[in-house]
Amino acid sequence: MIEAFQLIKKQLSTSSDLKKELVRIQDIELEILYLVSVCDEKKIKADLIFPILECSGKEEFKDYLTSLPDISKPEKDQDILQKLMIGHACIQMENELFLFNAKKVLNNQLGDASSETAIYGSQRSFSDVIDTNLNLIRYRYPSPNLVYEKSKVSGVPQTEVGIIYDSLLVDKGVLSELQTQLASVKPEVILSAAHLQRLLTTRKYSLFPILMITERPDRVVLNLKQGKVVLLVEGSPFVLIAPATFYDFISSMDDAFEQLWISISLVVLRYISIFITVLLPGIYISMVSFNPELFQAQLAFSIAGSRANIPYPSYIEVLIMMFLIDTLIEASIRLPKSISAAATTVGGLILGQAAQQANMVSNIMIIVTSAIGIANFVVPINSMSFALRIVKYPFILLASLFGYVGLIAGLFCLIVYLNDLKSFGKPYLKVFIGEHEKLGKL
Amino acid sequence: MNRYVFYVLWCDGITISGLLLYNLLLDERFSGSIMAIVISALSGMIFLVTITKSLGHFPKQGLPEILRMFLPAGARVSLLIFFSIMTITKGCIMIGYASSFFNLYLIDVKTITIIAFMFITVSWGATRSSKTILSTLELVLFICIPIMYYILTKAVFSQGIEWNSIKAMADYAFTWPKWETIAAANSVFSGFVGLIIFNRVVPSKIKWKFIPLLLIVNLHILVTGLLISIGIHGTYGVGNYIAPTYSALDSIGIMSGLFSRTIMPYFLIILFLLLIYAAVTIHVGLELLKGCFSMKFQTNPRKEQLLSWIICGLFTVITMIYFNTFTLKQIKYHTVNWFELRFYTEFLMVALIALFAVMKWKRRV
Repeated sequence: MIEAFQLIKKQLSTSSDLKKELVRIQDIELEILYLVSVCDEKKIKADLIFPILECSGKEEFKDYLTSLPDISKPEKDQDILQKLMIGHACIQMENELFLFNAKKVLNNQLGDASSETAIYGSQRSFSDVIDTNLNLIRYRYPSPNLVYEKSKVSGVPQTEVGIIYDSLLVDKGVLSELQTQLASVKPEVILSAAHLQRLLTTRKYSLFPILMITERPDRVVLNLKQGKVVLLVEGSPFVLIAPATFYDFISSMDDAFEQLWISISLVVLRYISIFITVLLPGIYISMVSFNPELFQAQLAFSIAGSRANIPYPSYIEVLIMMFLIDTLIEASIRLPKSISAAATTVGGLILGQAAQQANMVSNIMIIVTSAIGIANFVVPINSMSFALRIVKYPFILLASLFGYVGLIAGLFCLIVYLNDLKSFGKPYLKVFIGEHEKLGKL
Repeated sequence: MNRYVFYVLWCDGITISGLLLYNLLLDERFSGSIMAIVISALSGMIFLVTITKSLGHFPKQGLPEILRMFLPAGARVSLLIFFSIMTITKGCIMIGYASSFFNLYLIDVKTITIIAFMFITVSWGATRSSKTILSTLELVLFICIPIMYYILTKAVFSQGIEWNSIKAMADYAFTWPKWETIAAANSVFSGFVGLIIFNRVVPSKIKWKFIPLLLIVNLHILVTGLLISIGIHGTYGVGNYIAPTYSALDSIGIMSGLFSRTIMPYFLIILFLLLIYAAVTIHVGLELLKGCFSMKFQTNPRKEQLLSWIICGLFTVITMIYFNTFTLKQIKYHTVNWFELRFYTEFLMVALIALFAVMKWKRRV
């Protein structure tokens, strides 16, 4: 152990934030080693150095030291270095080593729930620190069955990952599968919860998220009550929930608080929006290029009239507009807030009047484009909304080749694909009437 | 009873009557198609009850596993290959027929191109697991059934229907039908073929009160389609069309809503139903065929997938060649004969399973 201490000293000697303190008061001799950047120096002074003055001798100080709740003895040499990195101080006293937890936490402020807002739900999101997040969850879910397991992904450096579940309600199969998958994750370092989500996705080419990602404590508590497993990642204000079903991504937290008919109508509205955002470009192409007789004659005439000056086929028109609206969305997300307003104004002008007046696209196409954009924003969880943005392109291709036949075939394939997906052994597209196995019976 | 069992039977009835049976039965309208429907309903129910009761003795087992218990390898393999070819052909005929009609009404692409495209879609669906197919079936029915009933109701109450010509059909109600008409009409109730494989994942028990319900929903779709065609075209005029029901629906306008004519939403629905119907039948056929091989082969997903895709490819090519060589009228004659063979096959299937169930029951006693 002592050799390990010397080795660590040597290894970290190049770091300027390493602090070595040799304390020699009366017959007590201490050597304290810590990183200033991650340790609270005030705590070290108050809890370790001042008490020495009040102690009469070596034995009394040692008793005091071992009675501190923040003190621990390292089990392995590897432990010492790991703990030093996350804010422990290493104390050497008479050939014995102690670790003192003096974590300095700077970023435990709760942010505003900004990427997933709700009217009546909690207005605060998680913070960057696991302990703070755990505190939020424990206060909201004061159950003795709530289990918090610390876990680490293999490989160095190890990011801390916490697993939380209700031991009575949890699905054991999901839990064990999640644990084995977590143990097999081998990244350099986990950057955020969303990064971990991607690493846990076993399908190589995947489009839909199979883990729920959220920043809302109330959603986490709701899912714990449903027997799901929650993953916390150190340094990320988002948490992961497994297993996820398609329906989870379509539900907002307000659905649980509103009156029954209001929430049912809102969910139906979202499903219709999904159909619009995925199918409308394809329907437009099929209608213009394949079967104008499908709809009422007046509608067909007005579309044909508005397209009279457009020099190219409908799918080119659709592709231009889809490209423009997707770049506009992408630009307004990535740009700094002060510029993004300008970008949307400029983009809106182009998409609105100018493109139509220049005979680039038809009037109807502008309505179609905005309908697709608005319908896409209705999906409450961003990862699903992004996935649905991609899905419409295969439909455009199919519609330009086979019209309505291609569109229906594509819809069939989408349903089969979603049904084939599994989130930790659970079916992804559980239809809402089949929430429990019992309901499968007539 | 599991609701998926009902879906399998329901989907079969709706799709097969919508695509094929209207034409076949309208051809025989003066020589006993009404009686044929009644007789086939009886025989279909007998088949259904027998097979569900028998499969109850073999929980979580499909036909390949049952045959493995009772038959020597040679008999088992030849039976399974025969059954599987009959089942896959059912899907192929439906896809071919539908493609010819879609070619007339929806897109101006060559029929074989549509057949190839549909087969790619359906094969992908059919090579998934049984559970995936069943839950897809549920969703498709959930989308299609309300629109289907809306269209049919709209059509029945449309102005163009001449009720006198429908009443005239009562004179032919008690004509004794030809054997092949009964065999063709019986296919409305041949959805139970799916259960011999889906018995692995869902128990194929069916409560007694759902049997009349099944009879009503399947017969309702079948009879409504026939009524609409006869009512629109007249008792004799119906014979002049190659697809009387589609022409009838084509002439009915939906005054409310986005669509102008009934045929368009009807085609979209029938296309959607066809895809899942073909996926179910081809899946059942593929699973039967896989039962010929050893257990070791069946647990190797890579080889299994490869085999499935090869079989699907083979049937795609055969269907394309067949529908390219013969005219629709010739194909119609072939189909009538094929339906008769199908009836015997299903009879053999039901008899075999019932026999094995009795044998198993006796062994236990």
